[in-house]
Amino acid sequence: MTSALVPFEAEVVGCRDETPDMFSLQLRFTDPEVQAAYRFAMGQFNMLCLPGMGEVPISIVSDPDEREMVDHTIRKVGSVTRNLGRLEVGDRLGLRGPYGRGWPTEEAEGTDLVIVTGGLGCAPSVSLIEYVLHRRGRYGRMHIIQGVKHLQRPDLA
Amino acid sequence: MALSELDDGFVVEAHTQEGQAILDTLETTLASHDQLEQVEAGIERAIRQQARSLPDGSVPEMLQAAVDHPHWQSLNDRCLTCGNCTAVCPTCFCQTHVDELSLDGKTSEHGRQWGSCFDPDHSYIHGTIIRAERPQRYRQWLTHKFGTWVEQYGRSGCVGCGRCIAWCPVGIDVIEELAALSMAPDDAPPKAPGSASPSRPTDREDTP
Repeated sequence: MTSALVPFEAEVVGCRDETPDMFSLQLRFTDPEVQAAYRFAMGQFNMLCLPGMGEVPISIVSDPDEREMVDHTIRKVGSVTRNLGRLEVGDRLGLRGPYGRGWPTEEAEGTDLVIVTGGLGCAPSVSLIEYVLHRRGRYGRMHIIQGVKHLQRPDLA
Repeated sequence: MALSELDDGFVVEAHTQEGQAILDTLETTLASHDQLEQVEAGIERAIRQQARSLPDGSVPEMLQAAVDHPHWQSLNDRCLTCGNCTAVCPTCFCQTHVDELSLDGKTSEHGRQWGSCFDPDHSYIHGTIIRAERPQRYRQWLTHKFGTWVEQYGRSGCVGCGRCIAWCPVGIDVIEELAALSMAPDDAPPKAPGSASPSRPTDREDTP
C-alpha cells in the first residue's frame, strides 16, 4: 500500500510544545488503509513533507504497537521545521517512510542494554526504553546515558 | 546475460534463469565452435590488457583504517566536486527530492531527481552541511563505492568500467587514489579533512 518514495497525506491529530524550540506532532494518514498498512521499527524515521517547501527526516517517537498514530518530536532549526511547528490539529502534510534499519530489539534479548543518546537524539529512545520496561523479563540491566548541553540561549529567555 | 561482440554479431550466454527466459524469446542461431573460440580468445585478450588492479588485501578494511589519511587533503587542490564521476558511474543511485511550487502558489509538485554526494546539499541536515569540504565529499564517494558498499550489498560498488576515470575533468584516477591511501602516511601529515569545522548556513533547509 505505502511506497517509501511517495509521500502520503497525513493529518495532525495532536501537537504540543516540549520546550521553546521543540515540539511534538502526532500524525495519522488520512487514508485509513494507508494507516492500517503502516508499520515501523523502533529507531526508524519518517520524511515529513510540507508542500512547496521541502521535507525533513524526523525520528519516530511512539510505540510501534500504537497503530492509530505516529509521534514525532522536532526541533525548530530551518524553514521546514519552523513551519512544521506552526501546524495545528487538523492541518495536513505529507509523510513518507519509514527509513533506517531500526534497532535490533530481538537480537538484544537476554542481554544487558546500554542506551546512549545526545540531546534531542534521546527522543526515539524513549519508545525503546518503554518497550523494554513493558517486557522487563526479556532483558538484563538497562543503562541510560544521556548527553545534554545547558547553553545560555538569550533568544529563548 | 553475457554478450560477446564478434565481427558478425553477438554471442549471447545466459547465466541465470532470468537471463535464459529472455534468451528464449530471442531469435538466435547456435554459436559455432569457431565463434565460441573467438569469444574465449577475446576474453583472454581483455584479461591481458587489464594491467591495473586495486591494492592487495581487503579494500574496505584499508579504507576504514585510512579515514584520517593525510592523502585525502590532497583532493582539496584537485577535485572540482563536479559530480561527473557519479553521473557516469553505472552503480551510483543517489537521489534528491524536490518540492516545486506553482507560480500561483496553489499547487506543489514533489519529485525525485538524480542526486550526487558531491553536491553540498547532499549532506545538508539540521542546519549544517556535514561534508562541507571537498576532500570530505570525495572520501564519502570513494569509501562508499569501495568500502561500505560491500557491507551494504555484499559486493563492491565498482564494476571496473573506468568511466569515472575517463570523465574526470582533472584526471583523478580511483586506482591511483586507492593505491596512495593504502600506503602508510608520511611523517608530517597535512590536516585531515575531518578536522575542518562544518559550515553553518543561517537559514537553509532542503532547497538550494
